[in-house]
Amino acid sequence: MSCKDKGEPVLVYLPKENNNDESARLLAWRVAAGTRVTAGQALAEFETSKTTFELYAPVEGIVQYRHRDGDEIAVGSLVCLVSEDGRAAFPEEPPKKAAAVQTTPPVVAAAPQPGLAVGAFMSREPVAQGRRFSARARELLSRHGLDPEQFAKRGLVRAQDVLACLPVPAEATIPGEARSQKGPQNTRILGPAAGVPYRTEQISRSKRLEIAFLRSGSQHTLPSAVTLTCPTRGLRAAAERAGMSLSAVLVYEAGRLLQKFPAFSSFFADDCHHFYQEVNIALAFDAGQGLKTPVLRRADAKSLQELEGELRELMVQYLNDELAVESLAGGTFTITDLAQEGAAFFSPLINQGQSAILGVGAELFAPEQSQGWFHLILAFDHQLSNGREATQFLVELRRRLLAYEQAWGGVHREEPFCQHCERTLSTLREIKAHLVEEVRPDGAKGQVCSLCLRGL
Amino acid sequence: MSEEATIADEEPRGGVAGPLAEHYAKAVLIRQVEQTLLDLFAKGELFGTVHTCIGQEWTGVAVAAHLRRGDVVFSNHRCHGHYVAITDDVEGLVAEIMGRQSGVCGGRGGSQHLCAEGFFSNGVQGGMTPVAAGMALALKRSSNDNIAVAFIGDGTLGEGALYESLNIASRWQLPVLIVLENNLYAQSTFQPQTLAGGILARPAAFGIPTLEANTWQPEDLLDKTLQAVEQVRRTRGPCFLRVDTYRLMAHSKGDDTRDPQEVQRHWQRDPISVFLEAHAADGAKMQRTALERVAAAVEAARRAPFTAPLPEPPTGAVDQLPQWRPAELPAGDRVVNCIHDALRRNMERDQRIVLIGEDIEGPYGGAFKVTKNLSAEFPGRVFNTPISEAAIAGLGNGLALAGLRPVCEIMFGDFLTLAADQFINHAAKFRYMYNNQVQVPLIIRTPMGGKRGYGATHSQSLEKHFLGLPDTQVLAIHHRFDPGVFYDRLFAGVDRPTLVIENKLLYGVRVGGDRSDGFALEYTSDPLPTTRLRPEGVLPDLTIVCYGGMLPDVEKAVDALFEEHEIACEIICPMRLYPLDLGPILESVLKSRRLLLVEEGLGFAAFGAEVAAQILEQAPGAIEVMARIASPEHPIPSCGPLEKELLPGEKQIIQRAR
Repeated sequence: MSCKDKGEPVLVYLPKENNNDESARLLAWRVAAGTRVTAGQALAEFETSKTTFELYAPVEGIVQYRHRDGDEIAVGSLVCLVSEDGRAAFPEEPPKKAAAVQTTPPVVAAAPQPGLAVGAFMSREPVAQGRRFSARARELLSRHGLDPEQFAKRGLVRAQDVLACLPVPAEATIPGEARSQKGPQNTRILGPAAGVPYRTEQISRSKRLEIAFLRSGSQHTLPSAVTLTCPTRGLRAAAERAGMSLSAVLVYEAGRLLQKFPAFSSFFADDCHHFYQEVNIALAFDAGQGLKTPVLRRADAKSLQELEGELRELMVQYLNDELAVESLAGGTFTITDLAQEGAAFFSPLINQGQSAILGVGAELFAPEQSQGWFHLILAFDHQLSNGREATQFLVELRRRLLAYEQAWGGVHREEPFCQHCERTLSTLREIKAHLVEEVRPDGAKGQVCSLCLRGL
Repeated sequence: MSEEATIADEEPRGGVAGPLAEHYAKAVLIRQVEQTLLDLFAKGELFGTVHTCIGQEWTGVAVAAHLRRGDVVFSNHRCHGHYVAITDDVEGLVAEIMGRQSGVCGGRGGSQHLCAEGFFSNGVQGGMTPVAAGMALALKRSSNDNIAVAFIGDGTLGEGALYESLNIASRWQLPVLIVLENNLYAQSTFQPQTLAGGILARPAAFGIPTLEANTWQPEDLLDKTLQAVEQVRRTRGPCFLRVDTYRLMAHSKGDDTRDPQEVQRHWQRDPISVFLEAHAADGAKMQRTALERVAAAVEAARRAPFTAPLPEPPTGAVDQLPQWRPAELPAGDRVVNCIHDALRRNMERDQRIVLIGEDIEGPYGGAFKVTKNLSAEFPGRVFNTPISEAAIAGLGNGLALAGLRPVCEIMFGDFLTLAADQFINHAAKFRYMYNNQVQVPLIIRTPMGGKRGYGATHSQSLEKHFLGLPDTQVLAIHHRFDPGVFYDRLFAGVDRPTLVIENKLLYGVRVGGDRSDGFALEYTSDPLPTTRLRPEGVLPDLTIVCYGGMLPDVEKAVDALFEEHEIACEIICPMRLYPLDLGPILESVLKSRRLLLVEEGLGFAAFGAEVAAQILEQAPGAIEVMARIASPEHPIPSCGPLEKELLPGEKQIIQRAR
């Protein structure tokens, strides 16, 4: 095929080679601009953080380009074009692509956005050629018999970098305040029990990330918690029967409640209270593949059905280990539900950049009792709220959950039963009791056994 | 030198004719120019002031009568007469003083700063005498018989630069004629009040032949100037001509405190008045011709636009981030040897390069041995001067104006103050005020810095006093960029007065020597680049800006800061202190948000302060923490331990960075 066929230039974009690199360095052009190339001829060589690769001419024609050797080119942006006459006009780059890595980003006189500016610079930095350990890093290496080669091409390696690769627990303490906000925070590591042998395992990257977020959350908040006990006759079972997801309901109701209690979707910084203008609920779940907290965005504005659909999708992604980074970021409030594991009461940890987390415990029933209870726990940042407000939040949530339970019909039995003592009709027969219809003051109908009726 | 002859074609009448008539016509023309300028001044059509030479016209006329194409004249603040006598360019002069684009310097120079082919004037007393000596040195090196002429006044006898120049002109036998117009007054001060000894005793003491004349006997004056000019031309050595004269008008305007009767007496013996009276018809015609010509010149100037508008002031905004390239700098020789080799290499390549300085000839080869053996290898191109820093720089200016590539060595940076006038008021001003008719590719090398126990006057870092002069550049070498390559590139591209800051301790350091692992050495794309030592694999916690001799200390500190305190620092080391490329510094600060500015000299209103101010202007809010390390405000003690405690070093940097 030749570009003659279409008469239009063929645009050659930089392909994505891996997940790590948003850009690649143009090592060298293989053809001069204005050269006629054949389809499949190598045009240029690129270098990513992992490898080098060549880019080939898709069609026959004359190559035009503007980039120079050494340029850093964003993935997906135009590398060159191939046209019949070599005089094709370069298309206007869409702003999004243009905003990606430029070789010489202009500096505006105005105050730079810290995060953005630094990001832009990082992408320009070449990979480190060597490595250099600080004194403490060296000491840790030798003490733990780590191979320095593990840090090849890492550039400057500090104690914290070595510790990150170290089997825990280590016996080191990193004193002083961490100077860099970009690096991991300093870590206090307790010494192991004296004389007891131990084996070590490395902590996974995702677990380290989780640690970082939670540590940050606990460092920047004044954590407090309120627990409320909710009576239930089996909310989860009722939801299941009704074909509803309790998680979705929790997200749905919490989302709406957070509009009323914005303090729990906010964060504290620089002595100011910052309120998020979106309610994005992170749902912590762990189905054996590691703890993940996918985020349901704008949970306050979505219908229950929408939330249910999203949750199902996220669950599938989780199980396939396909959760995208974007779907894990941006939460303003977190819900953690440990009922599956049977935990009735626990202390959730507030996440980085948030002010509260809702914990939902397992339902507890005494033997033979249909009336049980479960706990709602709200851990919150006392800098931004107080126990009273947290309690009000939970009371309101409890009221709403009970309404669901009621709507879903409470505990379902195959045969009629007393709604007070939960005895079924067959049981009542054995003790010569019977059921009577009752109409409650609110108009709802139910059944009560003769024993309970007598007692009432 | 004018070919124009308004009288010569006329029949002689009343006894004046031929060349003398031409000279009188020229003197009348000059007087008319000056009178017209006073008139324009009174009408508010001139800028600044005018120093007229009314009464002294004959000096310029007489000297001009004997000059040739290729001779070069240096004049002073009272230069209109000299200028018209030599160039006959009334129109260019009038327009210049009226601030017009059609002026000889485009209106940039004005009354005291004129330049045409072979003519330069400047308003600093005595400042042009070493420049004239430098020009004479260049003329002597060429094979023709051209000479340099320097006009001075009796007031100039108070200036030291004059004596430095007389000494060198005589010792080196330079073809320069010094013409002293002795009008008895330095502005308002009567000569006996300030002058000791005799006028001609001065040049005589230097072994310079002297001649005497006055403007009241024009024919004798013409004779003596001829003798003087021919003497210089023939002997290729200096001559000193004293011309007694009298200024009939004020020094400039409205500042005449002389006895009116004394002035009146001189009016009565004024040679031009006497001539006009004696030759009424010819005189009237001369006056009319002059008046018409000057009036036409004024009219033409009035129609011309004012000096070209000022360029848009630079905003100082950084619009491009630097392009960094990995540096390839194998371990090399010591800095001092790199400079020496580069000087030799470039002197071989470029015959225009000459070296001037104290003690630079062999076998001594300079206080720091930068020029060792070069005088033997390049005879006639390496000049040991007397201890005369003003003249060293002034000679350099003259050589540069002559198209050579002078390299002046000031033995200690501290003594740059003695050369400051030549750098600031001459070198830095010529290109602009002479309207781009000249360039001054002058290189001044000097070592700054202490830590060698030389004490308060031989250890300073005074470069801050020379930063920010338009049209100049101040460069600081260091051991992370080959000083040899630096000088190669400088010689290839020097187009302006350039001050190169070397460093005493740096001379002994090896170029590209041991370097800390984990830091990438990179340069910007500038031929004289900013150098960066970038911590690899991490964002910097701190940006340290330093230059020149501080770099080794900063490197040691940065190494220790990482080794012991795990602080990753990025060093930005500019080579061009002025004009400064802020981009590399700004870029680094945006990453680290912490800035430490390190310099050896005093910190008040210095390089670091300027960088800090520019960063704050360009990126307010970019910096979380900023600090400066500089010398405390204290003279430098000679005692080693005290000096070390005072001057910034590795220890102070580490303390501050933590």
